[in-house]
Amino acid sequence: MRHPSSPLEVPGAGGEIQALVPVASASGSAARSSSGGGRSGGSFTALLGLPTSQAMELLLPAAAPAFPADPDLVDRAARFSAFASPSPSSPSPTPPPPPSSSAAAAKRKADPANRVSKSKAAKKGKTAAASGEDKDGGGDGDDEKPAYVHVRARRGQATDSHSLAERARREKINARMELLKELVPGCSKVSGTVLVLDEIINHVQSLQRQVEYLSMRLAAVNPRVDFGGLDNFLTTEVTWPDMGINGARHLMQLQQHFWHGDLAHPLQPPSQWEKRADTHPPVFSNSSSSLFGYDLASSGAQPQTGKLKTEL
Amino acid sequence: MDIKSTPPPPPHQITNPSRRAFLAWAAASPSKPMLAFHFLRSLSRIQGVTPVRRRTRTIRRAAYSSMARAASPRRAWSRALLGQARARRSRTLTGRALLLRRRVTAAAPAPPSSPAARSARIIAAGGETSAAARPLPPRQVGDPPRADALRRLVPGGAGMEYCSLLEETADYLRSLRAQVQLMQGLVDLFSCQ
Repeated sequence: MRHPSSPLEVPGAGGEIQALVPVASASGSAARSSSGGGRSGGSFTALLGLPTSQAMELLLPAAAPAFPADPDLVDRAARFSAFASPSPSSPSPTPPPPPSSSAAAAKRKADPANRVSKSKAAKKGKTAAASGEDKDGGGDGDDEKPAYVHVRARRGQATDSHSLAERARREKINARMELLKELVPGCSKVSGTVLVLDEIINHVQSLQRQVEYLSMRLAAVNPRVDFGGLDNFLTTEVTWPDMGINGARHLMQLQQHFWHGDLAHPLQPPSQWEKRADTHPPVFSNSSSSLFGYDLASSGAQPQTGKLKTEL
Repeated sequence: MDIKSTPPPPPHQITNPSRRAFLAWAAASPSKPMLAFHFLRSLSRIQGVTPVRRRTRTIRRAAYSSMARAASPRRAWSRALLGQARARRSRTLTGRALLLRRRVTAAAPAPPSSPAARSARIIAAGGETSAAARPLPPRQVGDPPRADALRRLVPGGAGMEYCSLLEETADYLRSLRAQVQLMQGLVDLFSCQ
């Protein structure tokens, strides 16, 4: 819509057009607020904080796609930016009357397009600033803690050391939860931490109840059954995983050692406990020798245990 | 009540098929032969010694002890289980050792060099460390809601952080499952003869 505009409106219109285009949104809002007072063109480039040539470069490509492809409009826009050039006298009287109406028209036409481009540019500026801050913060964070956990900060997430540690811990916890979900049957389709934890707790409780029930049944087994025979069967028949061909020989050694209380044998899994104290059959006698034989404190090396037993 | 992984040995005499089945079951996880060894040893001992009335309780404790022995001593739950077994045994001390223990826990740091007092001090130290650990639970206020129930279930879970609690729970679950399979196999083996 074209309507006559007073000459007073021109600098305001020019200021507005020029204010619609800047990259940083903050300076854009500042420009809009100060456009009423910004009469001279020099304030515009001061607004952008750039020398005049760069300001014109910014203006022209920014303005050109936003505006409709109208060559004389581009000319007028160029002349408006030349409004800010250091020769204000010659362009200023000539542009105001002819481009005043067209400036108004251009303003009308360009407003939505410019607003769109401005918002796009503003968003780009914001995210550029934010990612710049991110990178800066990440760089600072890396400089501050000179090592350990190299976690890549994701976009939009804070990068100070506290949140990084929190995130690493959360990832560890999630990994363990995955492991547990695999162990517990029927847990992979459940989602949500509390339900999974409930399932895990139920499973542990059911297994413990099963142990209780089976121990009751084993207690009721006919005492004619010889568990010792089965014990011998196990130790002679079972193949230890690492031993291979020499398994039988080592097993005989092992059996001898267990029954005679000697602890020097090559196998890894029993040695961790047997070396400590466990030379007697487990648990249930009240004699003090077996009591001290079960000293499994980490200071309980073998010679100390032997000393204890002999001193008794 | 079902068993999830490899089936228990079939309920026959100890013949070739049951031997193969047992070997298959034993090879499924590395600690199962150790488990079977310890548990069977304790079972044979219980059968000779304990009267019938308290056998269930005794067998259950034997099951947990053999589970703890078959596991790696790096695991907190196995240390806690064996510590419980040891504390239970030391509760039924003879009179003189009990007096010594009381005296030693009253005057905590003094180390008398007599052998009985030294061994009693070791036991008391085990009891004391568990008592000292109680007022300092590491970082337990921010746990998810079911964590305290899990702590009660898993032995030694009270003094752990949530992260290591989950790891211990996984290992405890594996070991429990192996124990249940073993016991189920034994029951099947001996109740159908």
